[in-house]
Amino acid sequence: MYSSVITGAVTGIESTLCMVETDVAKGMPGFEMVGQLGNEVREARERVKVALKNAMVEIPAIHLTVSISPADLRKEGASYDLPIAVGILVGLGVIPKESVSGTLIIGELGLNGEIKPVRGVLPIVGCAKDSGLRRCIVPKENVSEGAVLCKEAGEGGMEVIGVSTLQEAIGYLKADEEKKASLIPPAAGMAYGCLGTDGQILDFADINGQESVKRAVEIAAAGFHHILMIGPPGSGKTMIAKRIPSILPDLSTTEGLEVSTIYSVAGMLENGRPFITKRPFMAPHHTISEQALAGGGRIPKPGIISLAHRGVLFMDELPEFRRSTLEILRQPLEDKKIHIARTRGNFIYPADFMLVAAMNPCPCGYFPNRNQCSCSEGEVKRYLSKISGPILDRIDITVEAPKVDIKQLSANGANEGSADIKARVIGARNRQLERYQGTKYHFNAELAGGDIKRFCPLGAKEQELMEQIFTRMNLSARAYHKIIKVARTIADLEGVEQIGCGHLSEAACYRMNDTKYWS
Amino acid sequence: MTKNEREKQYACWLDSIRFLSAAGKYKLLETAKTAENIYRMSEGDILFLLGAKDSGRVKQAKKEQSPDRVYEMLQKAGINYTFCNADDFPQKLLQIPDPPFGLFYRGSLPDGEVPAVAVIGARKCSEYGHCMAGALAQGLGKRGINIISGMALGIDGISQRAALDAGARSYGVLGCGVDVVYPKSNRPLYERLTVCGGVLSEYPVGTEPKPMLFPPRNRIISGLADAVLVVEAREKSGTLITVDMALEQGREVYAVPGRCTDNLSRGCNLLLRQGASAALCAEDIINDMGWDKVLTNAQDDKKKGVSSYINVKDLTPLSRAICGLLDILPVTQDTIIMLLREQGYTETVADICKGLMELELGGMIERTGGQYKLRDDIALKH
Repeated sequence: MYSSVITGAVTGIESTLCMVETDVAKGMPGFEMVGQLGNEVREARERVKVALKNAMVEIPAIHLTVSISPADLRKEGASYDLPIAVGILVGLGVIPKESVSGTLIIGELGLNGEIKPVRGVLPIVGCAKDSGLRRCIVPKENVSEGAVLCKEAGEGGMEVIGVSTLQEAIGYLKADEEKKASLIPPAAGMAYGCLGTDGQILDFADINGQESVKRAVEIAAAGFHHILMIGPPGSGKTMIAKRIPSILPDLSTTEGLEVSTIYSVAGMLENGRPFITKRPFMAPHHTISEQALAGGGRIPKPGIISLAHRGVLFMDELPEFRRSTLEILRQPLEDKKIHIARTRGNFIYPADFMLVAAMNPCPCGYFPNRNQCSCSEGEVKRYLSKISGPILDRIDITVEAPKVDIKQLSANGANEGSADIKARVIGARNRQLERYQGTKYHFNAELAGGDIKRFCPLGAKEQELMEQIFTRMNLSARAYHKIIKVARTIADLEGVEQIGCGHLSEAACYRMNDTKYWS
Repeated sequence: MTKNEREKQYACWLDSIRFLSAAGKYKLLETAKTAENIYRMSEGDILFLLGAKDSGRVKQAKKEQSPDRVYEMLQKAGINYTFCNADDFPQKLLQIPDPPFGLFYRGSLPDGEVPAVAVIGARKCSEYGHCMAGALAQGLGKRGINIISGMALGIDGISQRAALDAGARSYGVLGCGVDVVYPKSNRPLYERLTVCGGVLSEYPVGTEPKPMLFPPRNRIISGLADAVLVVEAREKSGTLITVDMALEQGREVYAVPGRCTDNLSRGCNLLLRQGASAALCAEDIINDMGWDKVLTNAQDDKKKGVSSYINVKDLTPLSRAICGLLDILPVTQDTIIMLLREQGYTETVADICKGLMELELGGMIERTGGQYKLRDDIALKH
């Protein structure tokens, strides 16, 4: 007897529905599986046989053929175990055919029949919902992740059912339609916002002094500008960077879904907190490999830059990263996504992050203070040249963090908290969203070419000032545009539509340190 | 070909032999009287005078190179040569202990009649050293004094550039072959020196820079000068070795004072403590050396004054306060903000940035590596 069960597969962060077709026939006993299967999928044969036995289902001597379609798509992972087992049971007539129609089944089987969690439930359930399926059966541990997408369970929407053992799944599928809900109630859609900050809350109020660094970070957060902080060791660069997520606006629903999807594919969603509402903060160590940063592996997984999507990628000690690792950032900084080609196919992961980099000005950290710095000019040059021009070009704001004074450290004055800064940042964000409605842009930092003139028009006085700055400071055309973009954000923070001289002046203070560092 | 010229050919051939000491060459010359005779000296005599190792080198050179060919190649490369017996050899060098046997040079040799000051100091100099070396060399250069230095990074290059900018001649004594530019980043300076002054070396053409070659060349730097000016030096540094040589040669030593706490000023302050004269400005040296009568007065640059773009009176109170905070040591924007806060200014970061930009565009302050400092000429005028 023939049966078909719907399941799903993830490629990159996209998912597609697959069909597990099973044919149960008399003949030479055997178990054939086809459909371009990876090793883990092939091994399902053993897991399914033993799990069925341990679930007290007797399999007669029959010839089994399982085909997973579409046949040209490579299948990886252990998530096909449960649909294959159910397919066999339907083929044997244990489970009625009707009960699996319109139902997506996904899960890994243990030999004792337990159902283990799998990766990528969120995008697969999303795909099932879009295709109009009525029910998804997922591992119990993934149920909250799947339920994110069906807030209004039951009422004509899609049901997500979590099962923990094969027997439970069989029992559920065998039950009459009316009794099903009482057997395992569909998981209620969790309210958005269940993933809060983890543990301690870092606040800008903890930081004494460093006013101009804080200000630069605020501007960067408001316009999603990439920012570079330069300063001697112990000047608080890392401390400030870690607090940037606290002033970024919360993720919107669509953004949250994007981020959650990436984390689901990476298998990094925590049970019980299936939906990410806070912007991610990724701080890879400088020994990170290219693959870990970009994503990849034999079965590609999203890399750190994709896990930082819509959030902050903090690279401490930027010049200590291997040059080849840094160069990887070039494409994502430009295209906001990364394209990974491996033997098993091409994958595109989103990677729209805010780069926050920190570095010392020289190997010892004290340049240009020659009384403390012991590096030779060559050493300083070599250190700085590890960061290539194309990467620097994409950084709009550079700020110098000085060594912290003891007076500042011991000061007790109230510092502005993250909440106040965040309110201003959100104000500036909203202004940008309004301005760029109907365009491809979201933030000032993305503006390019002629659109800078269109969205950042300068008055006569401002034009004159810019010309003065341009000639006096020997700027390149790119630096000129960066100043205008940053000035746009500063004006947005202030709530002003027209860019003024003050905004331009301040923006020019954050320009790339030209003469001394990179000449 | 004059006799002088032919002598130079033979001396040049001798000087192009690597690793021969100047003292050895002088020993040969003393016996042979002329350079040509050295070339024609018997192997036994050379062996007697130089020992086995060096005489072997001379013998080898005799086989491989002929004097006229060595000299011809040199001239083709635009390099000149002089040696101790030649008329154009700098007379000042003959008065020092252990003078070089000969000099390879590009450009010209310093004119013995013109006063010359050697400006020396740390390679890794601070902004203070940068400022003082530039100002002093410029002041000396404006009065037509030759600046002698080592064309190295830091003080050397800064002072030589400033002298050239002021229209003076400057001479660089290298610790490598005269055709080798070291450090490479000083290539533009090297080219300028060959036009307005010269680059000199006692080492054969093509000699690569080696640490051991630099201390001996320092005696030539001080030897060519009448006075030695130390701008910034650590307590134990090559600069102080040069000072010792200068004292041995009977040259005047001047030092630029600095803060006791600055590592880079320790050497200078130590010299002052030991009796060197303090040089606060170029005129100090000129008056001390009694050159003011010899030299023409500098063109009056008072007319130009400090070439800032704005008038201090036009500044806003905030900008004036910022100006008051800064000196030539660069500080970060954050430090400026902190200091302003201490003085009771409550302006926003944006306003302070505006003030900084106004001052920068006005030419009062400069930004180096994201840090702000007062412009050198304005700082010195205060």
